Amino acid sequence: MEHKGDEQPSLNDTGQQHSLEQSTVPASLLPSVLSRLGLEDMTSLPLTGVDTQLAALKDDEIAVRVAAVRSLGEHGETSTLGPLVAALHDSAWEVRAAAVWALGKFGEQAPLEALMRATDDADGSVRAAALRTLELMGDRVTIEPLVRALGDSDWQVREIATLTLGQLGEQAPLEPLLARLNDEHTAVREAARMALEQSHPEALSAISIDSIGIAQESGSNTASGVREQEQPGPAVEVESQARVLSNGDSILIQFTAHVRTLLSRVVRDVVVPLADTQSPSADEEVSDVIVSGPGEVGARRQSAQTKPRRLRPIAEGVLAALIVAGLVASWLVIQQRLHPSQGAASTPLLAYHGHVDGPAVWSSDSKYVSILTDSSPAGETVLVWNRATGQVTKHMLHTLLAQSEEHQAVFAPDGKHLAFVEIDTHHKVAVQVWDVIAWRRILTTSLSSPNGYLNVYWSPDSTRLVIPNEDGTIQVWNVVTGHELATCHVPPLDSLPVNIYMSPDGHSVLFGGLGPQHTYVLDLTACKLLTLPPVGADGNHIHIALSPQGNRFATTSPLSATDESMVQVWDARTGRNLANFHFTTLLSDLGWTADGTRIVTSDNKEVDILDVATQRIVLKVVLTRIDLLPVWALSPDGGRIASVSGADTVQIWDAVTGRKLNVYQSPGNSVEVVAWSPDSRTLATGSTDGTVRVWKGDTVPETYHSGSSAILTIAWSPDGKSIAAGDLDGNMWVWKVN
Amino acid sequence: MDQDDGDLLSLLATDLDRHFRQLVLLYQQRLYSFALRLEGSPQDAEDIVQETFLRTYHALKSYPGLKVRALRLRQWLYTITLNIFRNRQRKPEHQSIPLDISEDSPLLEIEDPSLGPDEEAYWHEWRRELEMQLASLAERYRVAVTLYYFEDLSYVEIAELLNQPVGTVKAHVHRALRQLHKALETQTNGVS
Repeated sequence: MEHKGDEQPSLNDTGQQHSLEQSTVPASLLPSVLSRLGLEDMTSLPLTGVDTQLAALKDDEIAVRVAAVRSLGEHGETSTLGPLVAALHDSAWEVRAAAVWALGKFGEQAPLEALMRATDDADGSVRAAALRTLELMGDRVTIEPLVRALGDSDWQVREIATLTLGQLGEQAPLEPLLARLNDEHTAVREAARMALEQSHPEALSAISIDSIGIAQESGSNTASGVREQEQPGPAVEVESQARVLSNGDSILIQFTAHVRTLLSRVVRDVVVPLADTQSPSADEEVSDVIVSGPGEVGARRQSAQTKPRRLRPIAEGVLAALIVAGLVASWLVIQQRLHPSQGAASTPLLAYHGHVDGPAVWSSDSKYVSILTDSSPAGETVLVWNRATGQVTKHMLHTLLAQSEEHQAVFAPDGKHLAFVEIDTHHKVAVQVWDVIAWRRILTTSLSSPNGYLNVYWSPDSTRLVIPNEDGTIQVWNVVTGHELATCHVPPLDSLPVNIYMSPDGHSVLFGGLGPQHTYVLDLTACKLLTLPPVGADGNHIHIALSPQGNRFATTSPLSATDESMVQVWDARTGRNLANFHFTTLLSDLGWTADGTRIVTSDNKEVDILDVATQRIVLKVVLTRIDLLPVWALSPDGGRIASVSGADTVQIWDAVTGRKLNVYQSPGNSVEVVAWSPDSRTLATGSTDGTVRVWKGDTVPETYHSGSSAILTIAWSPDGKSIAAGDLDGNMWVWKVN
Repeated sequence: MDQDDGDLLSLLATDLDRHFRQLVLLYQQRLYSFALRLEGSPQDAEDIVQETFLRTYHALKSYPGLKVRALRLRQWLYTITLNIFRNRQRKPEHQSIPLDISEDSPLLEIEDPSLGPDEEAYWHEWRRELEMQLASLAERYRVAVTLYYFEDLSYVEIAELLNQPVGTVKAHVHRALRQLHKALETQTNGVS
């Protein structure tokens, strides 16, 4: 797997990414654009007579009317003001915008009222043109329409209003511009910064520092940070606490400061005014907690007249709650300092920043994590992290063939062995098997593959490796001894198998191929084939899955061209058809529950659990995720399903009763991956904000911040005590889970 | 900022009417390809690009010179194109026209002299399939993957353009790729 950097996008090596680049733009586009802007023939405009242009204002062609308006603006004859004002009501926005610009050319003679009305035009470009034109008139115009336009529904109008206000220098109103720093659109926020730099640079620098502080505190953008500070509702507090528990000392300190700020505001806006009117001694009591500044006293006196008496108990309750929260935060700071090891929940045991290919792989004893990095034509780099010592050992996995063209590495289920397959330009295939922990090569073999088939398959116990070949030769190797166990011959594989499973006892192999001739069970002890009868319109099995017990397997097959499909269950020894399920959609996933009695299927809209014995669908979980690809996971014990609904809601279902057990809200960010712990009791989720959250029952989740981009892979250690997570950029972290 | 863009922006800030033609000439092809991927119909794509340039002209005329010189021209133009596309989608009278993937479609004017007839036919079919799958993606995925792979914008640039967090953009690109991969894989499996 090749790593792809941010700056070198390429879908593949065939160059098809430019396929549309050659779809030539129509030759008519440029003249049409210039014509509709009245730029087609600039030199001739002033030379045309006014009467002709006035007549042209009624032409059917928009381009002609625009040209006429522009020309009249160039002439600047006051007698044409009336027709130009009338053009502000033209049905075409291009004409109205051109009329605004044309009227602006009249300077002091320009009709202010008409231009003011144009600031309410239905079209954003016309409104923006009017705002800019009014600004260019200087002292003749108030800034009211500009300030009003800061709330325009069109972000470009807000942007232009903001920039235009900035042009006014010190006269620009500060507060409205400051408010635009929190606009929902980046362009407007940038415009606000630019405008403030021009008009109130000192205010901008002060705000910048404040914004950075808030952003760090909230871990989100400035706008949401401000909202959190102003509205400290319960949900925010829970989330803040979750961050406190996971983000270490600095965040705790920030949280304490945050609580103090809130206390200050409560004292200023609620408690102190009440104290003023109701209890002469109350002011002194709170002043022990917070020292108010002069501005706060002013605020206190203003609001003292309006607060009803019944608010006092509420205010006191809020104050008490905040004081408690502050004390808790302070205690956490102290605890953090006294017992730094307790904060290890957020400090990764391992953080690797590089080009990781694929998910991290735990060894079956949870002692090692292996990752592949820096894939190149010469091979792969294998990094092995020793959990006990903390050491990372780097190994180079070199290709063996001189003209090696492509390769792939496949870890064994035990995480301790690795098969490395490569093919050269002459279709020669070489297979190496390595003991990853001891870093010792166990076996090397080669074969020929005209079609470039590179797959190898591990047995569940990681002791055997199956190497199929297109000529029908199936090799089975013992990777403990490095010897070949069996070579069976089956009919040539003219199309590639979808997948291969080895039974738990290692005695048979299930081939999931395309077409009936390639879906069969191969008895390795006797090299005997059990071919299945054809099913589906073309006899194709798209997905195939062997039960954990190895006695049954399930297949999915498309039915005709109607997007319908069939799930079938087969006896792996006799080939007998045991159960059939008909679906009206094409399925994308197929698997078994751990006890081998139920099948789990999914398409893009729902997850279904099928009971083989009764041939009934026993549970249907509808995935309300808008995305095309659903995110869900069945727990290892088959008892629960976690599914992502919408972007950030995770629902936990009882896979037997269908009852919804829990709903987790992952605040503000899209959940990209869910993973059950080995004991099926805890769920880890990875989000686009780079966090991993670990949920258990109804408790507040533990949050682990990678500080990076979207988390896409999560791998629990087999002992359930640690999590390895990888992001989109090829970075990887390991955290200890409390 | 690209040096050419910087020079052009200075010219536009100085004399918009005189130099606007250069802007159209420089960007019409890119924006047309982009719009074609968004909309599918050449006529709609042309309409979108025309309106993009009209809006661009008036915006440039409204901006202070300082802002014009500081523009990130390429992203800005894509943003406007996307806005226009989305506004058209929202209009009730808008009728989506299926992506034209017929043999004479402009989407498929592809030639590679290094390929033999068989290879050319293979890649032609493959690209047709890719374009079809791309067109079937949800809009936000189609936009993200188009901007990243076909318009060569970085994640950060796309995030600014779409007014979204970088992580969201990355996730959308990733999901789009997964979806494309899966769709193409299913298609391949289904035809054999």
